[in-house]
Amino acid sequence: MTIAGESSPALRDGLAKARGEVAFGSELRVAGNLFAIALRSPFGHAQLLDVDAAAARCAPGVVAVLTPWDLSAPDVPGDLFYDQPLSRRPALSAEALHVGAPVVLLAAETLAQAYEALRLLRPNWLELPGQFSLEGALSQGGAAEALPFGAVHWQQGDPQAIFAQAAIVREDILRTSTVQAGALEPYWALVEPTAQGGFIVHNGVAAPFELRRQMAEFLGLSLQQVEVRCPPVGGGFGSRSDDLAFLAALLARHCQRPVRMQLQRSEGWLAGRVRHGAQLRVRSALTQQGRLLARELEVWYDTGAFADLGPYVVLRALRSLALYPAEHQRFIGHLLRTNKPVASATRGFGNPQATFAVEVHNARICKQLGIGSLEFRQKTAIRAGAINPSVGVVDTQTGAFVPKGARISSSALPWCLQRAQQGLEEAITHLPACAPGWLRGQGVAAAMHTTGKGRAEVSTAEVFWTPGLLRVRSGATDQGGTGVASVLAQIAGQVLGEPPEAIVVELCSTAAELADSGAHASSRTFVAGAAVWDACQLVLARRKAGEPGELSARSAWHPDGNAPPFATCAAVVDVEPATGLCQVRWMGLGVDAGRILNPRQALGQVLGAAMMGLGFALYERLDFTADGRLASLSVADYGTPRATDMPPIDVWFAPSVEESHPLGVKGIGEIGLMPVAPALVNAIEAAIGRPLPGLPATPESVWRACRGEGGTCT
Amino acid sequence: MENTEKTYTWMALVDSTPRQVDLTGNASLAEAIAAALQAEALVDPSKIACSEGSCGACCVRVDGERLLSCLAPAWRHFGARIETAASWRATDLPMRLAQAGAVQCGFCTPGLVVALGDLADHGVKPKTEAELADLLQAHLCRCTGYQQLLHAGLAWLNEQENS
Repeated sequence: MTIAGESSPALRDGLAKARGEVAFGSELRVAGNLFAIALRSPFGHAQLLDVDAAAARCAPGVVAVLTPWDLSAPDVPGDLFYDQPLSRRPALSAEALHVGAPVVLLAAETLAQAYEALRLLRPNWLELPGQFSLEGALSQGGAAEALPFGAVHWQQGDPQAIFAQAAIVREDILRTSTVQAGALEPYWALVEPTAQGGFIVHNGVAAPFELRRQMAEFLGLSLQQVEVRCPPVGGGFGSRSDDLAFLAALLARHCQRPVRMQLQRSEGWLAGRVRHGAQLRVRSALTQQGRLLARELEVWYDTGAFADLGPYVVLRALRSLALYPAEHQRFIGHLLRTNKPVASATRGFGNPQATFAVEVHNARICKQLGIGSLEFRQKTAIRAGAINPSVGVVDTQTGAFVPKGARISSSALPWCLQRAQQGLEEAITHLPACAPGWLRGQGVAAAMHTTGKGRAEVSTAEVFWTPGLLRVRSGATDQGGTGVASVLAQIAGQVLGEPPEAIVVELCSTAAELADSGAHASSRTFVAGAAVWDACQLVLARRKAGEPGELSARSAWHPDGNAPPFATCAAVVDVEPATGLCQVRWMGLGVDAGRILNPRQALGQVLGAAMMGLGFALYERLDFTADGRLASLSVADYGTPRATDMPPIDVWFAPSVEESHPLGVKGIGEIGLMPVAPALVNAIEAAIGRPLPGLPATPESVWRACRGEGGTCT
Repeated sequence: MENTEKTYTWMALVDSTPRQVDLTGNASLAEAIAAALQAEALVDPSKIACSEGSCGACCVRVDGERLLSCLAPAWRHFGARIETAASWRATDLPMRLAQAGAVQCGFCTPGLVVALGDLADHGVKPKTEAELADLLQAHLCRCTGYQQLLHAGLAWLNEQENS
């Protein structure tokens, strides 16, 4: 059965949120909860020699002060890289490896009391030398590699030999900045001990079952003794994988009371997770006519103080290489350690950086050879049926990446490219001419992403049906309004023929044991949606067989493959060379996300992703001082796009169906972000006729490029 | 250590209901309206996001004026008439935003409801989405990309009767 596209007005929670009736996690309190804060390192790298906590311990309302010497805090287990615990890290350590690293924990009856006591702590710091920039880490060579096996690497054919003899060889080196997910709701966690010796962890994480696994190991408990609950989240974008739940758990266990820990927004810049800043080198060998013979992509991702999800993140850079198959290819992915805040999953998961570099490189190739940008991509990009070399596994002893031979099951990229071209032509016709002293440029870019992480994906659903009441229970989470509940209701309702008002969707805590791998990699409709669909099919079969009473079924769905979505972006940008100011006049995105189940929600995902791409391209950057401190802690200075920054955006969904999936869907949450930054930079470079060094393309950067400064090649 | 601090009792008329909040701690006099509202409310329609007046999530109307409640000291507005998004529950604005796809995570939405509601009360009818974008520049949204919000907001404002 086909699920029809439908923008159901019965948005599960949108109305309640707009009415101000939804309590988010940052507003969650439980009776008697303590308020916790951490003393955090003001230095990029320092040793806490000792801390005089006497006054703080005696301050009004203070219940506990925990220094690194007061407890033998276990390590945070971290995610596994395949079977390797590469992101294991201390929860609390006297050696602060980045600015904002927690060194002392404090819990008090009220938040105000906690802050007052914090001021009474007298830390004695020894500042240490450190590596505070990606540039510095690059100059260290292998010494800064964060992974025991060095770089992740893959090779096909003999690119070196081709580079030595090809007619055209072009190399570009580009940079992208460290950026923040910038979710509006502050980061928080609340942990409460249960009467049975276990813990309930309230946290807005994307993967509650993974947090439960880590928390159980952290506290030395069984899985059943830990329950993870996810209240509504004010924006996630992959970034809610901070260590607050572990810190709160230490205090909750110590005090045997519920403990709530929340970062002030300014702390969130330091202790939250960020997108890896990167240097990227792309080298291509081509024929004079523009046929791609060989390509090499080498990336250096700044992972900050800990690897966290970095090994997987850097691996995702491979998608941008795989998008343009050549007989001879090579990928080298370095993950470099610096004394900076921890980089991890952030919308796009390592792909925005690499796609940026590859697509800017492609545009420069086209300019150099005098061939059309769209024509080059139409001829060169991967097609349905071809092997997708970016799907595979890493040998954790050697770092060698081994493709699994997965094929691209569907691609409407040619349609997306065509549509973007048509949109661009229409836009150019209708836009008013640019102002005197300004130059206009056009740019395009394409991208391929993933649906799900391609391994160990699962979602479990239970469906209960009686005529007029359809109850859906799922282990999936909604990372901030992605509309999971709406889509699950839509799928269940259509299979079993019930209207929206007859459907109840519960996104359950881990205690329901509906295993779910988490709201990541644009995958919940693909995975959780299929689980609900499958469970409903089972109920439908029993109903058709005439079974009486309430009918129920359960499905644990493991998807087949990770159907890559595709997108293209075309953009028109006006640039004032005298000042470097850029004004985006129009953007259009062609998106192949398979069948679109809920057009309005899908459009919202693409528009939101496009905005994040625009911020990444033009404004956003976490600036660090030479000694590893953040130059600005204010939201105002960071550069999140505002309504006035947004150009008109057209979005076109390809008439596409993913054949490998029962609902025909592919991921939608991230793909819209990927092609935006390169399309905008390609437009700027086309306008000024000079290369930019990387992101963000601030007025300063554009102004300098106009003067011939800062370009790495021409 | 025992909790022996003084309490400052603050009062305001919040969404037409008298609300009394006990603030404790030496800094209680400096508490902002947003913090005071959150101190006891189970669900607080004014959200605290940036705490620096940069994002608009905490926007409320105080005695008829739009204010960023994360910065406005509670004591200065003692007894004030405070309107949060809850004051617009009876209108069709929340449904219009939800139906337009203007609500994703929803953390910025209550502040935007207050802003749009206040514009409507002042008879503001922007002619274009760009004009409305200017009027909503104090508000950050990280999810939607603004387009669906501006589209719905513009249509809704232009449908409102002048009061």
